[in-house]
Order: sequence, then structure tokens, then C-alpha cells
Amino acid sequence: MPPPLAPVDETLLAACRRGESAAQHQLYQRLAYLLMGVCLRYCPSRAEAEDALQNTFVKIFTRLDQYRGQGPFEAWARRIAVTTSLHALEQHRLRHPAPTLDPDDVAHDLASPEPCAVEQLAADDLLALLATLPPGYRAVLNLYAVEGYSHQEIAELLGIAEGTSKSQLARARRLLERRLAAHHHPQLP
Amino acid sequence: MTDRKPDDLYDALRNRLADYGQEPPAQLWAGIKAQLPLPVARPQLRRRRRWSPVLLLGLLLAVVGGAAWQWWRTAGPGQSAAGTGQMATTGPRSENRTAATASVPPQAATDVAGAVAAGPNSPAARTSTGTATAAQATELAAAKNPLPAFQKNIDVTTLNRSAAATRGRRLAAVRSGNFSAGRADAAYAEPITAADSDAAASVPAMGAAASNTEKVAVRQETAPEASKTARPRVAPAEALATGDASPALPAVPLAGLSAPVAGVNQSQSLADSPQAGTNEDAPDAAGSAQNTAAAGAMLRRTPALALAGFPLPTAQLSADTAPAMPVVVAQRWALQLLGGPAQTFRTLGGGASLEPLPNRNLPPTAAGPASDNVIANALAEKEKSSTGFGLQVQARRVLSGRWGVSAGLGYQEYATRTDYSGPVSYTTYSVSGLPTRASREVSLRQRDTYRFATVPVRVSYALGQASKHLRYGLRAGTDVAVYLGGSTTRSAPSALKNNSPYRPLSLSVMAGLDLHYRVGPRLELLAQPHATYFLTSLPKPISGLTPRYLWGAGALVGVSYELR
Repeated sequence: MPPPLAPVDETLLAACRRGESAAQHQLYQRLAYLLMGVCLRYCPSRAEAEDALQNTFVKIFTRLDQYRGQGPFEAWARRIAVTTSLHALEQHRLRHPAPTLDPDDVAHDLASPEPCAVEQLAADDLLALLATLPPGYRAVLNLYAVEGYSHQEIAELLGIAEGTSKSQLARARRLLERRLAAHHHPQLP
Repeated sequence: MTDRKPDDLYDALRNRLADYGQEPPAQLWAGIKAQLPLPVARPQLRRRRRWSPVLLLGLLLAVVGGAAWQWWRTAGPGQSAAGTGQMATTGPRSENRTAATASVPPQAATDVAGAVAAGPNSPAARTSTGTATAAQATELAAAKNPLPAFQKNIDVTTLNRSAAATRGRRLAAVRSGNFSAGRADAAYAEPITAADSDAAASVPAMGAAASNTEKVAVRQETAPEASKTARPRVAPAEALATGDASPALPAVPLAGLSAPVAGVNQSQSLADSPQAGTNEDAPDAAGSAQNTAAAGAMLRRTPALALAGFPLPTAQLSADTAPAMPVVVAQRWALQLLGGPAQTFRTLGGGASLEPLPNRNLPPTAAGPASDNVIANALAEKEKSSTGFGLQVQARRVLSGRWGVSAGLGYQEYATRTDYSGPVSYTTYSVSGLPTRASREVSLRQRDTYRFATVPVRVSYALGQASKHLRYGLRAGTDVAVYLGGSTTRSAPSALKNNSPYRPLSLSVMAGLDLHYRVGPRLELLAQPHATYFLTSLPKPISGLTPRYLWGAGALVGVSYELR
């Protein structure tokens, strides 16, 4: 059950800065649902997403003094969740190196789906579909399409070149379109 | 987000997933709570920080107030004590009387001495009576107290002779108005005081006491000075008893009576002062001085300081009318309270290359924040100096010669300022370790502060010839600085225990000048221009931040209160 989307007020943040446990728990309840979704979109597994979410909240509570009120607090917390999840993803890739897939070799003969195909999918199904993408592609796609980052910002976050970000986004899009087409037309070869 | 183009697929993805969420597992909060610091830790620290300035201010007020009170207390009586000199050892009453006498104009004092000769309460009158009716006084003394009578007679004899010798000069001195507040005035007044204390019962007793105190004056001054001291008592007596300037006639029989005791007195108190031997008859009567009454009288005398072993100068001292300077005695221990501003900045380490450490060199848990600090490192080059401040409480000990050491506690705040808007270029490292150059538009206006509790240890060396008020020298030392916190945007690896990217302990060195200006017997004003440099880099190596060596230049001012 998602909590009500009310902005986090300064009183609650001040109590959290003082280390009041009740206030911290209240802030956790407000943000955990949304930030869990963020972590799930980037992390390769639910277990790792839960770990990332835990680290996200620890960072939030220990760095509250760095939040200066420039923009909504939810956006600040969401950014921490994104960077923490990307870090978890990076650690996962270091521990489990996998061969790079060439999206051009995957389902190259599938038809491109309509954009409404995305909306016809349930959010959980769409997330499962995204999870089938290579982690790097999925991260760039999430950052660009869902979070709204620019390629320059993505390059900074991931430590890659801006051109790499663009090319990976293009490949991720192509791969997602084909996965969607395969999902809607399973009978096609 | 400048290169974003409308795209239906991306918009559809954002609509479906932007607000997507899931309930986290129930036990997740327990895990988060276990990693958070104790909730009571921060309020305690904050409360301490809030009270520390108040405590320091209170300490400052206490030291300054105590020093001012001590200075006021010693400055007031100190002047009169200096004015009376060693005569102040005769007791507190002498101080009062000294002041009273000093307040009388010289001419008036002379006139009054003669005019009120009949008044029994007037010292001048009493001494006049003692001289004028010497025979009666001797009889009275014999009837009541033989010893004071002898002493009185001795005094009269002595004083008459010395008075005759120096009469003209003394009169001129008295009338010249020079006896106002100086040492001579104290000696002048003292016999009157002592006489009053010893002569509550009879006139002869007054004379005896006057003899005692007069000897004190003789011992301190010279023979002519003693004659001058005796003048106020003798001059009216001469005027009343003999009616002319020759005291010899009434003095002769008195001298005959007083000769034995005079010998005693001279042998005991004036023997070391040949210049003061105004009674040439003393040796003739030395044998008869061994009576117990005289010994008892001597026991009652006020102790006097021993004379110097060499002949005392005979030159007449002029009256010291200038205010006495407080006696400055160097104290070994002093408490110093200092505070002041400083212009502070930092030196970035790493030589010409200010690039961050590659993430691959960092622990996995530190890699993320280190990459977060890439921008902070790039922005560090845009920093400018800012104003900090420092407070110190030190205990200082003077060593032998010109050297001194001090140690204490302090608080120091260093600050830098960033006011920058524009592109920032920096280098990032991919997972494979290859550096990539990037740029980003940044607009930042911020003041970074770094607060430290310090343990300053100083060595000072005095230069030049110190004047009565001003001393100057060199000062150098080191500070052990404990990082208390600050206001920065730099992040820290979560692997760090206290989640701070900065070292808890640093070491700095300082050098500067040491100026002292004495404003009281124990109080000095201090000014210490100095420069400080951190030997250790503030950020931890694991933080990924560029090494940062703080430094500052400023001036501490304060007070020093000498303890003992």
C-alpha cells in the first residue's frame, strides 16, 4: 500500500537530524515504498535491491545535514537511492562478470512494438521485462527515460563517456522494443 | 537534460515506472536502525558545543574581573605603601597618620605646631610641652615611668642638638612646601604616630615613643634627615621654652639626665650609623644602660630593618612628590586568555594533478562516495580564503632567561569560500580504470568551515631590552587539532566508522610574534600575530578527496594574569 504523497515537512526532517527514532521511522515509512521501486529497477535481484534500500536510508539519515532545501526532499532521497543502486549494480558486475550481449544479435527480426504496448503491461510485468535487459543497458535506460537524466549526467554517474551513454541507450531501446514485441506476439518466430 | 527529445516509448516508461514502488520487507527497518548512530549522541555534542562559548566567555570575564580587582586593590594602597616606604612597617596606624599629616600644608603645619602647643592632643603640642617643661616632665616621668622619662630626655637632647645644627635649613625645607606625600613626609609623620601609640598615659611616654620612632627614621634616612624629622617637635619647643634659636641651655641638664640611657639607645639602634650619632655623650654613660626597664622598653619597640654595612649617604633627599610606580616583579606562572580572527585557506595536495583517486583503488564500499566527490574535488580549485577565528586558554611558565613555555586548550575554526558559477572539468574513471575527461555546469555559493579543538603547546623567546611596560619576542609551537565537525558538501564512504571524510586528529605548527604590554602589577595585554599550517592533510585517503592542508594567518589578542 503506497503511502500518501505528501511532501516531507521540515519539522520531520529536523527531528530526524536530532536523531529521534520515531521521526526516522516515520520518514522511512513515507519513502520506503517509492525508493524500493527505484532500487528494484536498477538492482539485478530483489535481495540486492533490499540491501541497496537499506544503505540508501542509512545514507539519508546520516547525511541529512547535507540537504539544504534546494528542491523537494523526495528528489534528493531518490537520487541517493539511484546512486546507491548503481553502486550495488557495479559491485554485482564485478562479482559476476558476464559476456556482453550484442542487442543486434538478439531478436533482430522481431517487429517494433507500438508505444501503447508498454501501457498495456502491468508495472510488475514491465519491470520483469526490463530485468531481462543487460544491467548496463537497463541502468542507462532507467536513468534517461524514467529518472530524466541527461547523457552528460549519466556519463558522470556511471563513469562512462557521453557517447557511450547514447549508444547504450539506443541499444537498450532497440532491445526493449523487441522484447515487447515478443511479449505481445509470442507466436511470431 | 538538454539533449532530451520527445519519445513516446520513454514517456510511456516514465508514466508507468516513475511512481512505481513496492513494500519493503518488514525487517528492513530493523537493519537500518541497527546501522544508525545512537540518537542521544548528537544532542549531547550539540549541547556541549553550544555551552562551550558561554563557558569560555565566563572564564574570560572571571579572569579579567579578577585581574582588574587585584590591580585596583594593589594599586591604591600600593602608592601609599611606596610613599611611606619602610616606615609602613610600624603598623597601620602610622599609615593613617601619615595621610593626615600629608594633607596639612607645610606652612600650616609649622604654624599649627606652634599655635596649638597648649593642646594636649596635638602631637606638636605634646612634644612642645615635653621640651618646654623638661624639668617637670622629667619629674613626672620619674614618678610614673622612669624609662620613658629617660628616653624623652634623650630625645630632647638629641633633637635639640641636631635641630640646632640644621635649623635654618630645616625651616626652609618645611616652609618650602616640599613635604607633601613623599618618603620624607612619611618619616616626618611617623614619630607623631608612634608617640601617640605609646603615650596614651603621659607626656613622658610620648617622648619615649617619639624617641623610638625617631630612631627608625634615623636608621632609614641619614643624620641630617633624622634631624629634619625631629624638627616639628623641637621647633615649637624651642620657641616656647627658650624663646630663641639656641636650644643649648635647656638641653644641657636634660642631657646630663639622659646620658646613660642615651648610650643604651645609641648602642642598640644607632651603633651602626655613625652619621646619626648626634649624642656625643652616649659613650660616657654606656655602663649605666643595663637596667631592666630600658630593656623592657626596647622590647616594646617596633622592629626595624637592619642597616646596611656601609656608610649611608648624607645628602639630603628631596621630597618625592611623583606618584609611586608599582613594583613589577616577574612571576613565573601566568594564565593567558586569547582570541582573535584569522584569514584561513588551504593548500591542495597532490602536486600539479588534482585528480581524484581512481575508484579501483578504493574499497568497494568507498567507491561510490569517492565518485561523488569528483565534483567536490574539481570545485576545490575554485575556493577562496575566508575568515575564521580562534580562542585559547593557556598556562604559561617563564623559564630561566628569556625562554617561556605555555600549553592549554583552544578552539579554532578554519573556513574557505566558494562562489563559482560555470563549467567544471574533471576526470572520472570507468570500471576498467580508464580515465575520462568530463565537464559540468555548476553554480555554487558556499562557505565551508572546519572546526577543531586544539591543544596548543608554545615556546617563546623574549627579544631586546624589555621596557617597564612593553616586552616583545618570538613564539612558535604546535597544535594537536581534534576535528569537531564543519559544514561541507563532501560525502564520505559509508565504510568509515563515523562517516566523516576527515581525519579526527591533525597536527599543525605555528610561528609568530609575542607582544606583552603591562597594565598592572600582574596584568598584561597580549597581542600575538601568527601563522599556522597543518602538517597533515585533513581528508582521509579513503575519502577520495584531494589532500587538503589548512593554514591561516591572524592575530590573537588577550590578557595574561600572573599567578605567582
